[in-house]
Amino acid sequence: MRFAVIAAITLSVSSPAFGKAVKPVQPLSAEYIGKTMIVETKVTLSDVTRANFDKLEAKAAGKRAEAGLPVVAKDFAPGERPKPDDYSTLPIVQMFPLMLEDVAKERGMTSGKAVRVAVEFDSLKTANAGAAMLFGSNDQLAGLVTVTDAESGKKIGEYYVDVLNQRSGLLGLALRGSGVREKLAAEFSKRLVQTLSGSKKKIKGDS
Amino acid sequence: MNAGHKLAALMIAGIAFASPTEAKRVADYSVTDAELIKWGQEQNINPLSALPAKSVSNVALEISPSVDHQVVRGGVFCSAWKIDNPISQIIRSITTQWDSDGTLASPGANADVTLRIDQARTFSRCVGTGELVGTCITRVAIDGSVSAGSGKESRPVNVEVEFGGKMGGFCAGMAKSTAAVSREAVIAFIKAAANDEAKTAELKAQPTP
Repeated sequence: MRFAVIAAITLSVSSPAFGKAVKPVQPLSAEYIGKTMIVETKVTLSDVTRANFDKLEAKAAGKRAEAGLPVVAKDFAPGERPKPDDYSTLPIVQMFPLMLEDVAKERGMTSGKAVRVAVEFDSLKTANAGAAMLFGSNDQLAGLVTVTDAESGKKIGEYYVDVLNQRSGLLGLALRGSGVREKLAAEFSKRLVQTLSGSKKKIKGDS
Repeated sequence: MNAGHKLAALMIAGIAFASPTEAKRVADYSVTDAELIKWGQEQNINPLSALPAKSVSNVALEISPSVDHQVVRGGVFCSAWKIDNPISQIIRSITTQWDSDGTLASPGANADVTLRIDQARTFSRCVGTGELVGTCITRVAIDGSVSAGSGKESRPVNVEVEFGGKMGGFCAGMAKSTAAVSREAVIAFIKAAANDEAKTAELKAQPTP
C-alpha cells in the first residue's frame, strides 16, 4: 500500500492529467511546411515497451483470425490496399502507414516535395482498470518521428508526438469504447499531419 | 474505498496542485569525473566509457557560444521540468585532460590539432513503460570539426549518443542523466576526432609524391 501511495504521488506530480503534444526536436523549415507529400512511412517499435505492443498485436491477430483473414507475416505486403474496417486486424507496423496516408490525403497533402517519414513508437499503453478507479489511468501512444527529404535523403525535421488520454473511473473507461490502439494511432496521425501541413484547424477533442 | 485509499487520493490531489508549473534544473559539471560516473550508474545509464587515452598532440579548442543549450523535452511526462545543459564546461574539461600536456593551446597558435564545437543538442523523453513505471531516454548530439594545426582544412565530426535511464520520483535525476550522457557524447566526439588525428598523422608521414 505504501509503495502504491508513493508511486501514485510521484506519477501525479510527474505527469499532467492528460496531454496531446507535438514537440519539435528539429522543426521543418518554412520551405517544407505545408508543401510536402508523404511518399513512404516506416514504423519501428522501441524495445523499451515491446511487451505492451506485443499484447495489443496479439489482440489484432485474434481479430484477424476471427474475420477469416490471412495471417500477416513480417514482410507482409498486401496485394490491394486493406479496407479501413480491417485496419484493426493489422499489426501497428502495417496499420499506421495506411492510417497516416489516409489522414494526409484527407488533409490535402497530395502534392509538393516528397518526404519520407520514420516513426519509432516508444509508448503504447492502455488504461489499467484498477488504477483508473483509484487515481486515474491513461491510454497513450507516443513516438519519435523523423522526416527526410526523399530526393536528397537529408533529415529535415524531427518531432516527438505524444497522445495521452486520461481515463478516470468506470465511466471514463466505458466512454472510450473499443479499438483503443486504432483511436490512438488515428489521433497520432492527425497531430502529425497537422504539424507537417502547418494547419491551424482544431482537432476534435481539443479545447 | 477504504481509509488508506482515501488518504492516498487526498495526498495525490494535494501534491498535484502544489507541484510547480515549471521548474528549472542545471546539469552540474563542477563535480569530479568519478562523481559523474556514479550519477550515471544511479540513473541506470550503463555502460559508461573511460576517458580517452592521452593524446600525443597539443590541442586547441574553439567552442561556439551557442553550444550551451536547454534540453528539449519530448512527451508529457516530466514536461514541466526545464533543464539547462552548459555542455561547454565538460567539453573543455575532458579536452584539457585529453591534451598531451593538460594545457589547451590558443586556437591558431602552436596547436597540432584544433577541435571546433559548433553545436550541441540534448533531447530527453520520459516514457511510461507500465502503470506507475517509466524510463527517461536522453540523447546528446555534438557537431563540430577537427583539423590539423591551425585548422585551414577541417573534417566534420558529428556524434550522437542515446541512453535510457531511470525515471525517478518527482522526475528527479534528469539533470544528472543529462550530465552523464553529455559526458559520453564528449568522449565519443574526442574518440572520433582522435581517429581523424591519427589519419592526419598518417597523411603527414606519407612521402610527398
